[in-house]
Amino acid sequence: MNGPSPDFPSRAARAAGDPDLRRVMRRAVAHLAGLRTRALAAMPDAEDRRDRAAAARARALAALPDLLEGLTARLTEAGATVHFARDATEANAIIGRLAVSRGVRLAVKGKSMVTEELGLNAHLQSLGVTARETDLGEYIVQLAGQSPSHIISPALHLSREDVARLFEEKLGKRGETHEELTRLAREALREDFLAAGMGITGVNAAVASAGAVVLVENEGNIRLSAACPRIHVAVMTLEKVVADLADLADLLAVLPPFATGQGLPGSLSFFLGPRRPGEADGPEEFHLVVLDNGRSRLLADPVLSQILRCIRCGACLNVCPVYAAVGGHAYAYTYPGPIGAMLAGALRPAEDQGRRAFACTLCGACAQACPVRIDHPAVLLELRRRAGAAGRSPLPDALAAACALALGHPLAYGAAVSALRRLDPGLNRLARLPGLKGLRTYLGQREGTGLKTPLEPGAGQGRP
Amino acid sequence: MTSDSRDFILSNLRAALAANPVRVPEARPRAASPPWSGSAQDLARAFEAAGASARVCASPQDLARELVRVAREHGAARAAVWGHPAIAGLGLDRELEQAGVAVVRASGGPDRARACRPSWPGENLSCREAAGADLGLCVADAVLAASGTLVLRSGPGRPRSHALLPPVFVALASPATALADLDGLMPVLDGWIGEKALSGVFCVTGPSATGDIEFVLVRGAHGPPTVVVLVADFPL
Repeated sequence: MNGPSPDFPSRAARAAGDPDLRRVMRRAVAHLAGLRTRALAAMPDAEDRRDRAAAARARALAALPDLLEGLTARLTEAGATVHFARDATEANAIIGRLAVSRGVRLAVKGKSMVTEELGLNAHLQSLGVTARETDLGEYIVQLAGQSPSHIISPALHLSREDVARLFEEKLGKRGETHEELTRLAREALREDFLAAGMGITGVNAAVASAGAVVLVENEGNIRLSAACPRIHVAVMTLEKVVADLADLADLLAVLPPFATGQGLPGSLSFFLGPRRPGEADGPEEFHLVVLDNGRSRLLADPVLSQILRCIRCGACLNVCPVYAAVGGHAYAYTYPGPIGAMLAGALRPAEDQGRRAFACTLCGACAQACPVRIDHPAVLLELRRRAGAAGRSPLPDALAAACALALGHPLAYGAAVSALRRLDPGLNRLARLPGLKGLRTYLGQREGTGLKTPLEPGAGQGRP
Repeated sequence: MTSDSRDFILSNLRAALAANPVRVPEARPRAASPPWSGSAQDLARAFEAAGASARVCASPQDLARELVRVAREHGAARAAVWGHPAIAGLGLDRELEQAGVAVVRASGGPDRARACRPSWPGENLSCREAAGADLGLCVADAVLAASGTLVLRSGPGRPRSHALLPPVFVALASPATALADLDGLMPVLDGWIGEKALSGVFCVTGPSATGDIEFVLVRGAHGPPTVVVLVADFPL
């Protein structure tokens, strides 16, 4: 299982001081955020869609146990097997047992963050089962021995040249263009789809009334993973269920636009169980693994339970200034960015110790971008409060009290900022303090503020 | 035992909701999906906008000619063809054979599995046959006009792999099955699922694509890079 690593602060500091990473991340998040912005501009009813999606998610959470029972009944009636797993160990054991007992030596995988959370690939490898990622970005990071750095675009931190070098080293084949590299991956994975004994996917949504496991993609690898192997295992966290197809439609009205700027994905698939009599392909066995891993406890929390509305679109990552500065790997957890900070603090508080919640500017861009209206700042502030109450604040008590005083009183705030600007009018001398390399890199790349000290000629005129 | 875990998890969830009931926020209801009243040409434009090639066929003969032309244009020597009444009724498999294209007809029934390696389960022969084909021919059960989406149901004689593995995917589509948008598909889907004989429904919008390397869009990641829709402007 992949829990939040304690070295997030040092990894973030290193990442913030890496100008190449900063450049790549700036371009990547601007591109992804731009896709969403353009999609929303073409959507006059975007706010209504967000409201409906938030309501659909809330309806699901409000009836979660009944919906899970309904989903189980319908899938079982269709010939599928539904497994419940309290934690990662149990989920891995279920999937591992299935693979070993069926003589599976190779499993092909669609992109699935929950299987990253489980550490499933390593578990299967320990049983002699190779788990081959087939989403192009996941395949690239798997070859590179890395973890995904973004929920939707796992390899966004790698350049074309990086991928070309990687393919030459690992596949023994040279490609230069994006098309050539994609073709190399397609050719390398084609035989794996045909030879694999098991296909493993995640789940975007599970419709209780229909007994349907729903998946979205653009590449075709998920459909292939569920068409050719004899066994299809779909893994989902327990909150992914929705009541009916109408609520699913509300989610699909926001998921593709907010994730990739699309109206509909290249493939939208409804899996309804194993193949029926007379079918020539599709799985003979269909298994759904429903994972808890701390989420049932989260539903009881009046502030944190809203995290369970998340539909994993990645929109919060694409607008987060911290994520843009340090990238996904710095978070040292399955889920990066604002959603990662919330999940780490809520599901693994002892390991996270509030570190990721404190790595937030509270700008609120994530909440504005969220299609299901999660109030990220409220959640992160609550996680900070709990970390502080548990004695895990990153600031000494006296300094924290001084900050609270300054930020809570306009006169004290004004006095503190005036004093700081007296010492450092351009707000850039701070960067020369030792141990602040990341801040130095950031300030070196930004334009000067144009601020004048309060008593300088021209102060108060022109730019603030 | 997962049944113990199931009881444990469901019990936890019920206790959680008793302690913290979830409030459902207000939301304006979605407008009903309008009926679609466009033309075959409108559908063709929608498919083109989604990245497919589309041709409107005025008659069965026209459609057969177009299919053969597509096969020749793409140098197809072998086609994987659904066992669908529309394909059989139009004699499309025979037309392809007469044009020199070998036809692999979808066979129902159990795999004639052959073990690739002794310790592995046998591979699916239907998938292997589709992987060796240059063109896959299927029939859309519905189309979504707003997005140029083909809706395919899997079933006996309708292998999933025929729309996935060959590099050229040809779909027959009829305006008679057109729905306005995805919202309009949901009640139809409800009816199909209620028949209980369905293992999968696949909504395909344009060719397979990826932007995973530097966000540069490339067609044909794993599925077909080329999608051709033959829109039948006559009863299929």
